Amino acid sequence: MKTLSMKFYAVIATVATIVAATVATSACFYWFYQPEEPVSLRDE
Amino acid sequence: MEKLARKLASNIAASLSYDNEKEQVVAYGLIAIIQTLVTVFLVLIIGLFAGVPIEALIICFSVSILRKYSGGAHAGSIELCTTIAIIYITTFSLISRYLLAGVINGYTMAIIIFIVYALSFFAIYKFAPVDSPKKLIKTEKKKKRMRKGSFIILTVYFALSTVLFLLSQKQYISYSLGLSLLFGLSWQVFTLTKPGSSFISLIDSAVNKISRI
Repeated sequence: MKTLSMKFYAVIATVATIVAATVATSACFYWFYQPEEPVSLRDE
Repeated sequence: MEKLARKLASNIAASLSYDNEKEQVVAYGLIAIIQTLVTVFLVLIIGLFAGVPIEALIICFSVSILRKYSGGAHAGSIELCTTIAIIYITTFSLISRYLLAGVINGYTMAIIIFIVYALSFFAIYKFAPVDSPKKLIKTEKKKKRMRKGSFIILTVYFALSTVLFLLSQKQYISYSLGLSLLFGLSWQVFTLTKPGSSFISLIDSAVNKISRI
């Protein structure tokens, strides 16, 4: 059961990371709220 | 919504032994996913109840696709952002279908399309991309890429508006869809300007005052 939830979390984390990277290449979030951007995704 | 995303990211980070930065990236992605799913779901449901699902989705996506490149003003909280989006989308979907589509003629529609796109091209040229204090666009290379992307999206919208305008000579529903696209575009362009930014800030501060009472 624990392995299953670990795999589930890993899938969510991977999808979320891909989405975060996609949003980072945009000018801003797609909607009217912009959360603080993580340092590693910033355009320096 | 943001609290839910951050809590889920925290659980994931604890289970997978992620450091703080990785957790922040996962949280950032989860906020984007949850906000998109909730907004599109609510827009679709309200659109279906109001009898204007296609118009509602056209406004919703015309704003968000252009916003990816042009940026724009932001609300202070995720809930306020979703509320503003849903109120605007529902109101103008209904106006497009039930108020304007039945009374507008081809000549008026052509003039409206010309004015909206002339102002939009000017606003994109003048203001885009508009960044946010929480996500600054620092490099000139990215600014150029975002402005170019905005112009490409705007050109695609113009082509779509032209097709809908031509179709509207035969099907009156195309007026409604074309007007929805123009309302989506107008709102997004409005948020690029100073009055648009002031308007969102005004709503933000009014909601904050009300929530403190």
